[in-house]
Amino acid sequence: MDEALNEQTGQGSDTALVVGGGLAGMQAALVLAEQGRRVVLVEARPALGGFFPLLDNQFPTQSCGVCFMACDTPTYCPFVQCELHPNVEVVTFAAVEGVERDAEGRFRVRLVERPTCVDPDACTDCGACEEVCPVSVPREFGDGLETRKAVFRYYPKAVGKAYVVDPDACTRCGKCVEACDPGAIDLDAEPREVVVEAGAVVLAPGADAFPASRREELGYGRYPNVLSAVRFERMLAAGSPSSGRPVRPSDGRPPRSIAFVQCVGSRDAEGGQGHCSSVCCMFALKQALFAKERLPEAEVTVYYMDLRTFGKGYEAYLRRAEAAGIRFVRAVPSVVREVPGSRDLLLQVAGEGPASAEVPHDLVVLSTGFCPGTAGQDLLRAFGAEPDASGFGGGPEFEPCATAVPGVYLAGAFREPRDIPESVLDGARAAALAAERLGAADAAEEPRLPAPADFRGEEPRVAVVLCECEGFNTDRADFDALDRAAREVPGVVAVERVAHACSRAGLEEVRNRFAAAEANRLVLGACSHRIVEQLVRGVLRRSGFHPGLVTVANLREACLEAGGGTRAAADAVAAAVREAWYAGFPELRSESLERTVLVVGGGAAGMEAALRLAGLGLSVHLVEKEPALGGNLATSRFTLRGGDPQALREDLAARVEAHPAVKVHLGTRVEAATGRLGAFRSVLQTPEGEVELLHGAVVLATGAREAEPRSYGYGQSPRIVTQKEFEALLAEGRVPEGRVVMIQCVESREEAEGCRPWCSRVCCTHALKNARRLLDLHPGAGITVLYRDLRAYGTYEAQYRDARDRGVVFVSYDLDRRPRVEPDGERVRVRYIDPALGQEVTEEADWVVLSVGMAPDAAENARLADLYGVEVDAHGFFREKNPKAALADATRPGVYLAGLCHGPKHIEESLVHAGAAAGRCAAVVGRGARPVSENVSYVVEKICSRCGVCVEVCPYGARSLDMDENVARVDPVLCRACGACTMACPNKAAQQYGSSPKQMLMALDELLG
Amino acid sequence: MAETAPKTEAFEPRIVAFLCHWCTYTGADLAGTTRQQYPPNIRVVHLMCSGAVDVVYVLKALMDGADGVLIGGCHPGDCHYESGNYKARRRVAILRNILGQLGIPEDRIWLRWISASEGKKFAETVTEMTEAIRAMGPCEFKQHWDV
Repeated sequence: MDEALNEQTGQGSDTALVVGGGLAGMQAALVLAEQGRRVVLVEARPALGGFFPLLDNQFPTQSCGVCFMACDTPTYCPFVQCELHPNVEVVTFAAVEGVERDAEGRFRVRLVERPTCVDPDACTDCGACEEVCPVSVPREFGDGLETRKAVFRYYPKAVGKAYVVDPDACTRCGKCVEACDPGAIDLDAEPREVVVEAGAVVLAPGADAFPASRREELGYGRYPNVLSAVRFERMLAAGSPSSGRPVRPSDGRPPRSIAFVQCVGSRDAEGGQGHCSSVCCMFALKQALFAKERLPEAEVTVYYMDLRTFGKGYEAYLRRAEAAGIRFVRAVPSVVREVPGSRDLLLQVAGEGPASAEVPHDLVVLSTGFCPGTAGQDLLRAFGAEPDASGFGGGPEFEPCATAVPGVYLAGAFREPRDIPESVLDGARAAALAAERLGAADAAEEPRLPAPADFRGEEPRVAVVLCECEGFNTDRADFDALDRAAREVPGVVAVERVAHACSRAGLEEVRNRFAAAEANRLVLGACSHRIVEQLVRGVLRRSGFHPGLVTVANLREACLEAGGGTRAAADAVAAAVREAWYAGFPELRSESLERTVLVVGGGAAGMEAALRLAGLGLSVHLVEKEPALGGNLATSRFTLRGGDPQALREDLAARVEAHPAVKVHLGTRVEAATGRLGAFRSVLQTPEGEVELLHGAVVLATGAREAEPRSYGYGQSPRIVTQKEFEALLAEGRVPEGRVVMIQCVESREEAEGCRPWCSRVCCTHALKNARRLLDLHPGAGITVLYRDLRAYGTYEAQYRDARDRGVVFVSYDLDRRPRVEPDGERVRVRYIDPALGQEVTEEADWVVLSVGMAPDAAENARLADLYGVEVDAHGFFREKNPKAALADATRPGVYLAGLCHGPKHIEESLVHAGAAAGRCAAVVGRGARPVSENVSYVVEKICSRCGVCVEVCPYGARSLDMDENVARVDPVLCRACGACTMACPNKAAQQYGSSPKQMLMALDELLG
Repeated sequence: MAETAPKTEAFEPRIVAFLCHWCTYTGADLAGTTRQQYPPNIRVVHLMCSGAVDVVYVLKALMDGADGVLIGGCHPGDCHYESGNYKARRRVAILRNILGQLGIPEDRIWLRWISASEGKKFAETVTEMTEAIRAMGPCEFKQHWDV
């Protein structure tokens, strides 16, 4: 890929087009934007977000955390970040209509933006149109749990002015046009064409939710108490009609007995849905846990085929669900009937045994999975690539996120069904690939701004600018009274009004009024800090003023919308004037960051990370403790998807060794390390002696190994082997025809001493690949796989089905009735219970193959964690910064994770992880400098007693003690402005710009004046 | 300064709310944009983190005449600054011990976890708190120190 890529790198066109505004697309956009690239982010729906806004809470954290998608400091929800980012242009409600690719491989993409019929610059978001609209249709957000009007907000949290007219539902009665004070609505608005020239394209169109009505026999659409997963998810959201409580739609009462039916629209080849959707087991557990928490009396049952909780930390989540009293039944309900009158439901349940029964429940949730969606397929084809056999985007196994077309990359659930963490990783990797294709990164220079005027030492003169919000605010407060009240606050030299502060023209107006008033502080009385603060600070900064001059008073959301009126607004303005009066002004500067990265570990992940980082213009040192590169690839012979790991190993190693920006250190280990993001100093023990290295970041890629089994007679017979050993025997053709019994989950998924409580994710597919290879060699081979849950997730399900079709027998076992293995000369006797027969079966096997799972080198990981100040989890894997949105980041800035050292993964997943680590790392250290926060903390040296409390409480290691000068110090690169130190300091020597005690106490006086 | 409220018979509690930027402040925004009405008795102080609410700020609010103080932070595990909300929780626990000594009933101070998506919960919390404080009557702390 890379040769082709380098040849055809588009010159001059530094824009990346990202199609799809779900989490994968937003992550791709943010990683590219943070690397200084211009991004056009296109979303088909009226607002960014994809599935994410539906999810109030996510597994396995039971909370959110997508703000950690930001490459540096977490800030806003990613859709707000994308809207605010100066490098990202968001185009919503738009579709790709035409694609041209020129001879240099650049793209000219024609977008058609559908009319929302509501001018976002004029709309004040007052909601009058929605109130008067007489139309009511089911709301697509939440799969029709609620209704909406023909003019509506796509979802409650949609950013900014998100009103849109649905042309299909609109009756053109014109009531909304009349009701709209600013005249923002035009029902005859025309579509707009936008042409984007892009050097690289990331496609992240997302997958569709399977329409539950396609499984007619399950009653969705006919019976009100049968819900789709999406509809139930919406019901559980805090803002739902029932405020998050599960209720029966037929009568509004809480259900007594909830059934979750798994695999609706998944693992159903006859129904055209042959894949496993990968996420439904986990979201069903989450929904079940929330249902149980909110209705402790209710019985909750999950009907399933296999519980596929294969992600990091997911097995523990399953244990938690079991402990919460959720019942699991391994059976698939085939038909749902309604009981007339009560509207309860009867589920026809065929178990593994011969008996089938009708089981009553009073609410049924269908765990509907993903469909690839024709929109995604059409999009892929428009760019000249084809979906794979499953209908999903797919792509080459060892070049994940690439497509057949150079410069077009694929990310998220359309590539293959995947959950949020994996979609986010995909987005970051696709961004790294796209940025590499766009060419050298250092083109994006920050505009040099003059040193800002901060009027330090002058008597404060405060200009108050009040935003009328086109009548919204003036309708709800007496602005003349507000004006008079503001003039009475000491220090106010002018009170001005603008019609609409947050529009482009409005922001300039605010700046002009401020300048004309010859003031040296600005209080903007408008809407939320979240919306307007960065905008107005940016305008002032670009005009030569210090952004710290600005204080926002939130009149709209915090006062007027809630019914607070003039009094509350006046108090807020007065308090803001006090805050502005005592504002402090940090020196606005950037701290430089070393553009060299140390990668520890030379397996697939380490080599891939090194190549991607080098491709993004960074210098890389790659350290491998063994005398050769390769890690686990060295013992991988083939994969379930047909890849050749040996060819991959040779290719990666050759490219790493040949790359001028990568220095490989074999037989080397990291002996010591100090420093922080931007300036680590590591000592490498190489065969030639010690080398000291200065680097801005480190990627840990130390891998993991197949564990050594201690049970099932391993070691007592040469015919009892691990999957990895069996793989080698198969590759060398040393397995004669015969009977093979494979045992899954050996010492895995168990809490007992010496076992690995986690699911190793790869063992089920490992068994499948070895079974299929054996059948390739000996079509008549007899193979039995004894398993607990067969976790052939995503499109691996196809190979599972193929193995079954080719005669592999899969038999489930429980932990309390596990198989027994007795070596007997050249053969091995295996006894197990066949649940279909309810009897013990004895097999005389030629080989017993144990799936033992993976274990990290816990001691080495702990040592490295100590060196770089990061954490390992209870099992010895490195801990990620956030389990939803920052899996490639360790728990300290500047330290990244790639591959198995973070948790078990397939080879291609390690490559994705490594690419994501590189993309996120380059977004921070790749720019070579980091601006210091406006709210950075500082030390008032004359009252600092060097007690060290601030050092202890700082979560970022930004504080240290200067023993020579006898004071605490702040490292502004590491400070994230949380204020923890300012609270902990007993002398108030720890202070922070923007919220000093003086500002707070004076503001309180005004608020309560 | 705002016009002074006319003296009326009915007691209108005054509540200061210290809200963390990332979760509860954003939740309050959502309460606004989704038109959840709540009593006008609240005055919002915007801070980056609930862990940056000094005990002194709470006492100052009470001394300035607040009848109740609400501290809003991210749900456990959701703090943008890793553990600021836990620090707030510990600080409020300590504050409660002091309040008794000062003659202030401890349930004048509410600590609530309200996420960015819980606009409704924010409005409900403010409503509930306003009624609870109304039932308690005015806080006498300010009076005691009006010497």
